[in-house]
Amino acid sequence: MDIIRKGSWVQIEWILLEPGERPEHLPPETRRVPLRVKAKGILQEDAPVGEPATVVSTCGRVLKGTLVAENPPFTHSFGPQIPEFIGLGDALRSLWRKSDE
Amino acid sequence: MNNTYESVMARKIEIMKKSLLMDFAQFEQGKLSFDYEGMMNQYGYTLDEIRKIQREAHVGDTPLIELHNLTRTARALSPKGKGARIMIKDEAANPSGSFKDRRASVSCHFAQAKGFPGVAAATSGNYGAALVSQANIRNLKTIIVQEVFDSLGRGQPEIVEKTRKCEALGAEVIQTSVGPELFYYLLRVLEETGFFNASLYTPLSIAGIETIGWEIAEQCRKLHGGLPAAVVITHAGGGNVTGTARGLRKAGAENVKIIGASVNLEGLHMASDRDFNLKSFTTGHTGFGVPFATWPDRSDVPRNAARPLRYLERYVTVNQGEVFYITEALAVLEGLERGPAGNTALTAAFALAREFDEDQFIVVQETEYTGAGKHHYAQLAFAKENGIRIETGDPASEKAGETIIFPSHPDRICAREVDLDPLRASLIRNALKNRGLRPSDLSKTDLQFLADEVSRGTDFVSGVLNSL
Repeated sequence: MDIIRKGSWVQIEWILLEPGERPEHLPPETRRVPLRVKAKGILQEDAPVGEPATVVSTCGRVLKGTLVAENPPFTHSFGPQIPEFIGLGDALRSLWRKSDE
Repeated sequence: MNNTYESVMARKIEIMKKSLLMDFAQFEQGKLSFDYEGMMNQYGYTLDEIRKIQREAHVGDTPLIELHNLTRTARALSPKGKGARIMIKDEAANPSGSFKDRRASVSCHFAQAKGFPGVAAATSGNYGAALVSQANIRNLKTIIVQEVFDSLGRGQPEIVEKTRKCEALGAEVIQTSVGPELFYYLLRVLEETGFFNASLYTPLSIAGIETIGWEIAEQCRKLHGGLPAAVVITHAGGGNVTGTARGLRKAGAENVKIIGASVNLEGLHMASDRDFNLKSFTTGHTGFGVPFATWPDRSDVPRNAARPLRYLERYVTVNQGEVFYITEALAVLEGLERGPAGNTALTAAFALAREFDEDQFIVVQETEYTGAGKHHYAQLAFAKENGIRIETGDPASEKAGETIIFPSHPDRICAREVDLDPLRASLIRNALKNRGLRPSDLSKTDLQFLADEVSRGTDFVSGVLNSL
């Protein structure tokens, strides 16, 4: 198992509220699952992924949770072009009236 | 310290007092009323002072752009003599890319002046980035609590982008799964750190938005020789409508019609783990727009400074496919690549322009930045992954969570009227219900307060009360 070294920038996760601790007015599909939290910080001791770990956050708070990963990348993207929109500019310009030119 | 949900929520009022330096109890009157204007003036900043604070922090004085090509397109679809010019306030030109910098600017100025070590807020939107940006200028630390992912760990791309941007600006970001309890965690953070509570709904936040209304009036007078017929405002939590309308009034533009616009997400529950990733819009939608209008004090402060039914004269909805279409049109006709949620009001304005005369003009009061995750291409790709069908046809038949329908022709884009009277009646009912009151419990002050809350006479309030 990968050991992440003390001092690394890591992500941890913990359960903030178990299903039974969540407010009653939530929809059932939300209340059925725990409220999970993720945060990042500097790892305080060597630890393997999936095991308990302590980090110090950007604002100096001590946070405890399960070690998720070392510095996970952002993977969200722009997505592909939308074929339905190709040529939209020409299509809209073709509607213009002579009188408005 | 007992940190169970119930214990922390029970300490809310105390935590608010310390983190806002404001005792909301001082404004309470009657059985359900409070002194709204008194609360708005409590921190004592004038509009001129706020303009100065914002200038110091590079916020505001954004361009008012005339959208010549979108206007020509709307005009081509209008009856003869109709088709108002469409202008847009390019709020993406603010430091963090949205009008939210205005909201954050005054809170950060105040927090710095009062010696707070940092600021914190629970927000999954552009406000997080705005707060960090403004806090950095004021040498304050920032913690942002965001609702990002569902129980399967899948993040909404737009909110993942907000995490990235907040972290890029140096904030501590706490990401939660779906649920309104991010506000519970924020209370714990405020208690632990002693940071300032930079809620979106304080008088400081709303006063910061008033400058948009003021700038619109001034720019229109200077550049276009007069005031717009209407200002169209994307409506979610109510701050944008409230602040802009108040600013217009302060600039002597009382006759400009205030029109709110939201994306119609009817049928999707905002706190649902299942519906969370079926939405292609994370703000500017009816899921916030309707509940916040009819019960403003559901917000994270005891009395919300954003009270949109005091100001809204019309409220319209548009559908997701229409907003994506107009977002693309803004790019290809006007050369402006901007975020889709900020184009909600623009989509409504495109439809509404056809009602107004050619010699009139209307103003859309915001744009927002776009980028990975919050670009309309990213949202459409994510929608497809979640099984949403993307079609071209009549956008009126779109069903949120199932389909996104691009208009087959731009004349199918429509601003659908929401009758405000049922929302007004709902506010009155909620005001009583939330305090366990009966109509006979109310004083004259309460009746007048409710009339002000819904911008109607006491006759209207009495009519609703009689029907209860």
